[in-house]
Amino acid sequence: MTVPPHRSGSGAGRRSPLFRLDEIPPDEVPVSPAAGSGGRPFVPAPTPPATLPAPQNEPASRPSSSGSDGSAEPDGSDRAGPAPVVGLAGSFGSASAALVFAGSLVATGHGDGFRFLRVHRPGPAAAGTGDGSGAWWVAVEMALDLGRELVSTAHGRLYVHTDGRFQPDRGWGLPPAAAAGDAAGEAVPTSGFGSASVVEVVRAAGLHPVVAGTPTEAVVLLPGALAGGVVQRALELGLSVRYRPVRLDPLVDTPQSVIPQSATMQSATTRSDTTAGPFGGGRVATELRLSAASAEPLPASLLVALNHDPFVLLCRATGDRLLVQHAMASALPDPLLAGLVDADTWVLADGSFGCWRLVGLGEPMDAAALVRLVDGYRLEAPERTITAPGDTSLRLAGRPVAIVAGRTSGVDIDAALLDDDDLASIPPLLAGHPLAEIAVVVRGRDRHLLLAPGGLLERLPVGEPLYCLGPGPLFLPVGYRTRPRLPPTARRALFGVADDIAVVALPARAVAFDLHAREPVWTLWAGPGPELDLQLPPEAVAALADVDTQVTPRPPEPGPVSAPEPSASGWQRARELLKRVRNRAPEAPSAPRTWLDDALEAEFADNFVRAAELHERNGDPLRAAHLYERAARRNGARISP
Amino acid sequence: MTDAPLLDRAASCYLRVGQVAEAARCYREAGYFARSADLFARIGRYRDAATDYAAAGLIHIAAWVLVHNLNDPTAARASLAPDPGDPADLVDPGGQIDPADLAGLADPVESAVGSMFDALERRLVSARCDVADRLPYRRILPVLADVQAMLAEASAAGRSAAEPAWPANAASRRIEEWAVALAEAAHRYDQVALVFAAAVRGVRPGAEQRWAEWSARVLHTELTLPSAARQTPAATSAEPATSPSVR
Repeated sequence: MTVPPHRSGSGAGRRSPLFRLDEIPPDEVPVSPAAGSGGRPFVPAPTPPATLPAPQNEPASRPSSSGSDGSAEPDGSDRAGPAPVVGLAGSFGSASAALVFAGSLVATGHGDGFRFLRVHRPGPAAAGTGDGSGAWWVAVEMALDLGRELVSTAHGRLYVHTDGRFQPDRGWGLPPAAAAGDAAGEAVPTSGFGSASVVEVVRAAGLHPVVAGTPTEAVVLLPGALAGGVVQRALELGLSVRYRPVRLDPLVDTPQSVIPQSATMQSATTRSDTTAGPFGGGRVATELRLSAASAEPLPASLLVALNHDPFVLLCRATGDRLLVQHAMASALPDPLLAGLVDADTWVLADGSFGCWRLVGLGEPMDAAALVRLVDGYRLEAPERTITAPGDTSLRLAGRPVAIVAGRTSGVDIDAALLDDDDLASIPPLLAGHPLAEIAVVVRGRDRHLLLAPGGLLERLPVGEPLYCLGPGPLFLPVGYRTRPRLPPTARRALFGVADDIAVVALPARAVAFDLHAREPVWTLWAGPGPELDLQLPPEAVAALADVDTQVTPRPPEPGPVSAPEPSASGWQRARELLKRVRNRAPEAPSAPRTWLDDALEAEFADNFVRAAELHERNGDPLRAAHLYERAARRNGARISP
Repeated sequence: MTDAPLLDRAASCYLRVGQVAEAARCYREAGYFARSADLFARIGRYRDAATDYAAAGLIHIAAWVLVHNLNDPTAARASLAPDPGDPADLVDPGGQIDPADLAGLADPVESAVGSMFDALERRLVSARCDVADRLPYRRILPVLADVQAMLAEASAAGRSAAEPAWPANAASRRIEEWAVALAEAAHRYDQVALVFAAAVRGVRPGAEQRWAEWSARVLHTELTLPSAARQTPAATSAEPATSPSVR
């Protein structure tokens, strides 16, 4: 792997440089804030001082009479053979572009001779001339035509080193003359440059999102409390997991005012500042290394899930030196970045996590032990009374029934257990939802049961999803089962389930609900209906008035009955009459009995086929299918799952 | 063991609401593998479809799904393990199928025709595996020639025997479909045209429409067949009676 020369602090490659920047006073050289420079001042290249010679296949000095625009020079396209090797520099508007150019230099075999520069002391010709003093510069010696192509590819501007100045290149033909840029005021003296470390550039460029690949190994940094769940899921997927505690120290200790930082790195710096404490801003986390067997790619679903977890940083590893956030990348390729690491391991991530220096605290260990066991099993000596031959008093003591975590994949959501806060969230959630038509709610003291004939069949974002284990309305949380496994009769006897009493068995307790107290779920947000203006014909009103007259002990005062409006008592009677006729009470939002009630009662009576037929006849084939399935499974296997 | 009729009803309800995967799962649990395989193939779960076709005894269809939809000729060849007494073994690869060779295997004519269909299906699957393995395409031409001969002639024989035509039609339709897919996979569009032409001569129901649809889909051209070919079908001639014009 090619390592840029800044690590040695010299900037010199194997080849003798054609130019040097040793005019920069050491006390004015910017100090790299990153560890790659180690905070040391720039050390000039240990090469003999020499002025930049002319291009090798060109005269040492071209006559100035050739013109600053070079119009009298032959065009380079007319020449055969390679272009001259010259000292050149690209000026780029961003650190990312400079890194892209550096990457292309490495790819073309020039990775050992380039260096990053910043305009440190603008010269007289550079001041105010738009010379890119705020830009990033990359200096290298290479063939001019290749340099033109690479610099233009990275959207930079090419300069050629001539007589202690960087002269702007015109883009074709021979290198510019010494005075070509001076006339236009675009030449930049090399004395105004300071060296910038690659770390600075990487830090300023930040990371950008890329298409995530399918790695065979990944590293997860996360709080220790979350490690058990990730390890369990990884083990279920057949992955190998090793873990160790690690210390994370901020990769960038102090912000450098001389170096503009991208937003990403600014937030990382801010984070390191805010987390700075008595331990120097570091923190301890847990590192998990996930790897698949036989070099297979890791499951993409696991990677996506981990990458979406805000408390987890998923990284891809490049050797033991570099961790880069999953689906993110720097403009510099990972292998080249890994070569920049001076010590420990670098962790490069976006601003939400920051960039850190990782130090392992111990050897990696097998992470299977992190999966917490539900129970502890004491090791005990066998009891002699049980194993003694001839003992007729052998009696097995039953274990208490417990609700334990277990696989319930494929079960449908039949109900939801709500608390008071969840209940308050139901109206905006279900208003306008198809479930509002069929769902019912059974209110309790501090827990409430939301269910629907045929099942909710939808995981709501509130409450705990339940599935109906049966027999009758016996519900368990999804992901839990009974231990030991129980037949239906045992479940009915042990949990006290009845057709009108729903029981929700939780790991810590079981709660029961009176199903007679169920109400349509829309009663949670629908109050009394509007006042009913009964439009009766005048004859009916008169007849009602006559009835009033006859049944009232004191007849009203004699007078003409001319008012068409009924009296208050007439209203009440008419309302009662209408209620009796149409079975509707507008002031009480209680729904009449429908086929849904029949279906629900049939379902709780374990008559799934009848309930399914009711749903099928009434245009709800989805719940009918669910109930047919339950009936089929109940007939096929009468044991708990 | 679950209650298969109830699962069948559940699957029907799932199909009514468009949940094909759930319906296929119910059919599979009920043991109705042919139905579940069809549904799995409809939603693109070809691996499940091949498994269920094999469970239903439809070995050739399972192998075809493996090689054509999953591009897994190795698994397809494995599922086509030769069994003794297979009529396909009597057929010389590259040679014509002679119904007289099959006559002694079963007395009823229907069985002989069915065995011929089985043999053709097996050879089509093997040829499709050859295409997937990038073997020389010349090995597929004899198979397609036999398919064309069957499509052009077998239908008339079936009508003359006054037998129920729908099983043979279903089998010949599948063979026609596979032959077209085989020729298309081999980029032999001329063979595709010959297969369709044979089907038209054999008065296969809907053959003209399928040919026109294929032409529009693949060649992006409208197909026009001479009316004489439609009115005087079969003509019991092996020569191409139809010379379609593509405009």
